[in-house]
Amino acid sequence: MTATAGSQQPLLDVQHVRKYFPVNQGVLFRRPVGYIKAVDDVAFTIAPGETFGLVGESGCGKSTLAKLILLLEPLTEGEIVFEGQPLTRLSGESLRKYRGTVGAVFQDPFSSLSPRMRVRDIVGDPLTVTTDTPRRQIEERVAEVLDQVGLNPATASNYPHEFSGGQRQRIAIARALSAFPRLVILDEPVSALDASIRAQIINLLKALQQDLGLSYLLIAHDLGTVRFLSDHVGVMYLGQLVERSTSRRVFTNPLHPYTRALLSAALPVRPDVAREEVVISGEVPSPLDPPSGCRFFPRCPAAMPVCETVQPLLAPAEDGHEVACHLYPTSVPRGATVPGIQGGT
Amino acid sequence: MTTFPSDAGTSLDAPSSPSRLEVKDLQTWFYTGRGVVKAVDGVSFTLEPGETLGLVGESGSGKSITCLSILRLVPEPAGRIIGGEIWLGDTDLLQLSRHEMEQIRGRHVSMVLQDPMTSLNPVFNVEKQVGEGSMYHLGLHGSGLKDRVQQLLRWVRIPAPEVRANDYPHQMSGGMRQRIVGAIALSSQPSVLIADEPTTSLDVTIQAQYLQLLKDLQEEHRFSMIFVTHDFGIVARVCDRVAVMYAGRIVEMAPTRELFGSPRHPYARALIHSLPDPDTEVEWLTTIPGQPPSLYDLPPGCPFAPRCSEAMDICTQEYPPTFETGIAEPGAAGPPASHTAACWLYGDGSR
Repeated sequence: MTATAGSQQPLLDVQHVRKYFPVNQGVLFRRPVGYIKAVDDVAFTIAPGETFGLVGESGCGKSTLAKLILLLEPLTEGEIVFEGQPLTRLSGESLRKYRGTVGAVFQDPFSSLSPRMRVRDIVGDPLTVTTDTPRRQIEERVAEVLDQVGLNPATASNYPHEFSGGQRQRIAIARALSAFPRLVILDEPVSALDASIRAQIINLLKALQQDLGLSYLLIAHDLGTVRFLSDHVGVMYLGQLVERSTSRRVFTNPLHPYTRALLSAALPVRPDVAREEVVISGEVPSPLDPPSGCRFFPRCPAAMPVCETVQPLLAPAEDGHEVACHLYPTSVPRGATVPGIQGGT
Repeated sequence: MTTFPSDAGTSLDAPSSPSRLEVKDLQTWFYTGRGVVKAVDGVSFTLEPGETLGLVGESGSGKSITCLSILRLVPEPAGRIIGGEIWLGDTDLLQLSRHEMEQIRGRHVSMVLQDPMTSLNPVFNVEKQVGEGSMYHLGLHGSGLKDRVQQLLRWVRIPAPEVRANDYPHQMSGGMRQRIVGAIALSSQPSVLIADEPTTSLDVTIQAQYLQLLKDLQEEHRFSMIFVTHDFGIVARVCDRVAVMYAGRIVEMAPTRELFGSPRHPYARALIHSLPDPDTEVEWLTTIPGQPPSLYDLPPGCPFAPRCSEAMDICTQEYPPTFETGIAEPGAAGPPASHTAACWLYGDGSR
């Protein structure tokens, strides 16, 4: 579970990805009057066997990013490279194969499983769609993954409504695993589950990762879950990464004011753990018209005049811990003149 | 109803009557085609003036039905309050007529619901919805009502209330809408505010703002609060005391720090230890085996027994009474605190 050496090729390489959704107006001649910059220049990598956690509030672009990786939405700009292969070049058989190598588990196991399909067909579906595996083998595989996620393979002919929430999420995990994926996207995998069930599912996800050598992209707003599962963490705000480092660094030494506010707002599990209380004012601005300069400046308790005009760069501030904030000289773009701070390297 | 000497400038600014709320052995059952669901089965607690009590539990544990019972808003005819007493001051709410209850609801006890998208009416503007309670309970109208609405909006920190009063809910953000709901709940200066998961639909930073607002308002207007949530983090931040519910009953009740410091009931203990904590690193989380029971066929005895690592023979035979387990760290100030648990592990102590 430790981060792999830097020389190794990453499993997933997200390179300066942008996704803009046009906002159209006009009845007869619909034309874009603006763009929602859902994801705006985001880059990160996921090494084999590692978990990358993405945190941020709703509307910050986490789920759009997941959709881009799953090829459910086309990119506006940038490239996503999976095992050395750019996703935009995939077509036909290679595309079909890719869809099998990336699994996904969504938030609500009540809406993500078709009520008309038997568990056997739900779990076997990725194999049916992405491979030419014979039916008998699919059934064997279904029994195998059901066993792996802790369900009785004899229940394969049941329908989803016969299972509880926690069991349904196990079915969803089994489906994500059936086609032997290398990467699994976990989009809020436990937030719809009851508290006494969550720990079971979180432990299961970790055990499966260790047994199968999976990589995870974990999207969650519960920071406890993110800390427990993730090796690296990226913090998103309004379509951009504002901080990225190892999970331990982000949680023990958050650098960006937004991360600090987020950690403070996350509420301690125990009241005896003293937490710095940072309650930030205001609400997340519209991504249709994001603030100039640093997108967080209107809400930032540490905002300076420069934040309003110059967009900070995501750059390593202290050994590998990356942050995009003018409090750190490394974030100042080259050539920008900021009173008191020299342009970064 | 006890009356409270008004020490504020106008009678409007005085709390209606900071009364003590006492729920005694409340039973709310649902009669359905599949059988009887004992959604709330013998819940007792008191809420002192100005206090915040957290009701924590998983979905189906009965926390919301307990609150709806206090307001006598249990969906009928399937649901019925079949037993117990609910005392607000010296009035038993369960003995009141429908009409008398209407004078209590919104006036002395009011509620903030989970989702402001559904609890606000999309076709009426903010002024109309915020003013309704003041019109009905306080008899305000015309410019007096208008002023009252703007005062309420200022209380909940709505910027430019004179402009915002004419807005419709869809013109506001989620956090602002939930503050409007708060203004409606406060409009008659209730003595008890019931907040049923008021921040679940909000983002974390907005949630922090809202919790802070509720705490500030409570300080300013001195109402007591029942805070329903499934999130122990919120409990830790806002509640003075906590009641943990499981399958329709309160299984443990204690001051907040005490509950987190030394939980007694095996369910509460396991639940607190199973939470992934952003402040620490662990190899594996502690899990609770099994699933919450179906309320249609509860096992005899303690409903948690099948999942409990410390279950004894008696646990599967007889439901445990509530035992006083004693405070681990006696607090310095305040009324003598108690720490109770409905668990046979504490059976040999004094009842």
